[in-house]
Amino acid sequence: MSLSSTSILERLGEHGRKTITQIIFVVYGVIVVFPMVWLLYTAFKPTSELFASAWSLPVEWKLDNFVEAWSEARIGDFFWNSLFVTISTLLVQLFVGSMASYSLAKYRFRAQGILYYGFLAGMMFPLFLGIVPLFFLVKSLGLLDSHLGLIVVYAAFGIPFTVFVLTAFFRTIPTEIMEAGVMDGCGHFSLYWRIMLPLAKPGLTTVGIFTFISIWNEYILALVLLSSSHLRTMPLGIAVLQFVQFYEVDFGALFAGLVIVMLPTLLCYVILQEQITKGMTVGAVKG
Amino acid sequence: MKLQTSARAGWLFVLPALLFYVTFLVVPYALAFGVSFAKWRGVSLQLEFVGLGNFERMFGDPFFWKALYNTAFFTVCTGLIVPVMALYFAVAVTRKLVAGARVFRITYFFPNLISQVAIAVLWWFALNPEFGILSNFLRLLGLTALPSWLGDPDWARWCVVAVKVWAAVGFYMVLYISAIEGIPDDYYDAAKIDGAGEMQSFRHVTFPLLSEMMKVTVVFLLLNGFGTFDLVRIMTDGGPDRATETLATYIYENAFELGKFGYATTIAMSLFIITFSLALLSLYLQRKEAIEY
Repeated sequence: MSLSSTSILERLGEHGRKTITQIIFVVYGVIVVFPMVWLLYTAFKPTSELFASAWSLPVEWKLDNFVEAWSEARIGDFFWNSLFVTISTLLVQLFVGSMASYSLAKYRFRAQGILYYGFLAGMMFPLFLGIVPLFFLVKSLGLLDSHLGLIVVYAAFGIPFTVFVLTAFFRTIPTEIMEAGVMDGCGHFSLYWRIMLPLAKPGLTTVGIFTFISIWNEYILALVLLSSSHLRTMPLGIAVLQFVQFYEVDFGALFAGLVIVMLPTLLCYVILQEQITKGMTVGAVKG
Repeated sequence: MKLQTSARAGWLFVLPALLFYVTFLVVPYALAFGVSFAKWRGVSLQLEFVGLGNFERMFGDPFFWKALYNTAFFTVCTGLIVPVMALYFAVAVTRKLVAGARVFRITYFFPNLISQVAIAVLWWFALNPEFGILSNFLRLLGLTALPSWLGDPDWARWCVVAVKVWAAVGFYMVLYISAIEGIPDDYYDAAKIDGAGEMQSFRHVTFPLLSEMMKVTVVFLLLNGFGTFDLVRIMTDGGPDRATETLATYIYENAFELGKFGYATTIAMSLFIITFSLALLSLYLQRKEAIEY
């Protein structure tokens, strides 16, 4: 923070500073929101209109681009692929990760500390370091170019974050509740499944939202692990479409495709805004 | 409680996660160390051990140095710009220096919800010299001699920085907001009684209490910056003339386009050594005791 600028700002007085701040906020707000709004209404006009006048609203609001994107450009297929991969990853990662977190938080056995920090260490390694060996590993397991392969890899990469958040969460649940469950005759698994897991719901929701957003948007692993066009997820599909439409100089479907890929996470945010902001404090480690 | 001391059950609960984790994270990372010392075209699992040969080659590869320079450039620029902007926004929002704070708080976060691919394509459109909104806006202001943005080596670099900043600021703003909201009001009341204005409260209350968080997020931004891939790959594909090539795009090119798997992993090792040093730095900075209110 430069101190020389402070004196200039102080001379401006309270009112002047507030006005400047307000202007900066509005301008930056426009820079953030306008490109998205532009994208949204441009998705309703044909490419010829875009070249004729970049700013103007569509002459006629037509769904042609969306229809072309959804069926011809196969964004529809990619949408369902993404949804399937994202939800499957979510289920696998939450189930496997919550069991491990529960054990690390509530059981007592040797090597527990090593396991916990071992899991967390996964957040420290850059993805690109392991990407070549990972590619050949997945290939040798016969999982290359399959949704299953992508799902297990996504779930594995999500485990450090899941363990980090959920272990902390399970620790806050009093052990007395478990004792009551044992009185009622619960075994190891039913104690976890019927008593602890429902209590961990807020933690699961936090991890779930962040996982949903990051998997829905993931590009690098999908690019490396998938090659067949019918298996593509949304980000892959958009990237390929950009390449194709660039040469055809016809961007209608691409604009529509962008709107389709952006909507689910934006809607998710608008609905779950409080939850996401609260989760940020625990999720601070993940970009 | 008896149940909790059952090591067998404890292990059984951890086992599935451990299996996933070891197979797809630990093994690849461990292999990476071996592969970087080998010549490997990936046809078979046969590796020809070349010792430090790959590293020698890397140090003599001008494209590697260019990619490293660009990566460092992007990382340092975003590492400086993002925290300053995010902090300014966070302070103004929490200290009620701006009307409509709630709206800004929500909208500024939008870019963090969108896929990097979508952000890249969106800005690739917006920066188009013909129909993009930036060029059109500047033409409205009467400017005519406009650069081709992503098509110009010097401008392309700054465009990537700008888009990276655009994509990241909201996230850090929200982090700082939650940190500032954790500072008890008494501190500000006390500062006010001592006659401090908004600037002094920032200098003597907010900034010192936030500095630990700032350091951590800066280091985190640095780690993040070294992995820059999606934006560059989509917006410029490393061009023009490798002006925006990063280590990550260079690794991808070598491995999956040229089939030089061993060499790609060697470059990845250099990436790892840099990010690992930064991670150690972050642990060192976090080592200081957190301030409890």
